[in-house]
Amino acid sequence: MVPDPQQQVQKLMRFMHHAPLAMVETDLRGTLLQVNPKALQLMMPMAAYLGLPGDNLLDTLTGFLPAVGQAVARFDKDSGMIIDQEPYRIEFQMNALPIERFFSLTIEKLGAEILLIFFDDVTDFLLKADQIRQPL
Amino acid sequence: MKPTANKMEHSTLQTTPSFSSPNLLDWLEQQTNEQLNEAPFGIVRMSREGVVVAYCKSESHITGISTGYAVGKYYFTQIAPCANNMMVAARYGQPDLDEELDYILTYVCDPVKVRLRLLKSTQSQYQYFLVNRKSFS
Repeated sequence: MVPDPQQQVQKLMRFMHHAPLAMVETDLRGTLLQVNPKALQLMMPMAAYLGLPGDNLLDTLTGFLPAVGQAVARFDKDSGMIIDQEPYRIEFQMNALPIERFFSLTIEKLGAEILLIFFDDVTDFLLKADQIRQPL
Repeated sequence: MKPTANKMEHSTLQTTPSFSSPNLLDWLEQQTNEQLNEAPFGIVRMSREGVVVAYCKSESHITGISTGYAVGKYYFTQIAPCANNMMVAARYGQPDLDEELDYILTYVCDPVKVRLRLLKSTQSQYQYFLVNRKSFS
């Protein structure tokens, strides 16, 4: 029996919707084309802190990490990995509270006009890893 | 005089205040779950614990999530994880809340630029997440 394509798409969408990893497709300038909820959850406070509308992920990331924008601008191949699971630290404020978060970031150029950007807030993971390392 | 008074009361129910109206919370508290469907902007009515009580048609059109799926679930963890952060969800920790802000939600995976209004008060039975769609440029 051939699977119903519509049902398969719905299953995929549910998977994307609940994924704990931020997943974004942008054009080469960083304008959002497709985005999952985790990405908006993580990026919108950062965009608001910078006074940006949040519709451009590269602008938001580069506002904290100028090296990210430079790496994308320097990449001259039609496709390939630009940044591969690099760790970054970001500091900002929200509701007058200082926030320090650690991110893992991957940027892949998928074609002449498409970037895939994956990022994850690994702050809690690092804290738990530190606890595991503590001697008993 | 009595029929006139009834007519005015009926008229009040039919007229939705604007998205930014200062009286919006009072109006919302007077509406049934079904009446919220008539509003020209998206309305999510939640219990004070964050469980969806009503998810109106306009909201469903913006996000693609059906009312039947949303009702009874925790809004910020199960329905709108994109707003489960210090910028939006954490604001409901205050006893009184009336804030408007620009935000981006998703329709399936497409970004949707919106204006949000976050509403609750110590007197209100429910808390509200209101959504006005903006053009995405």
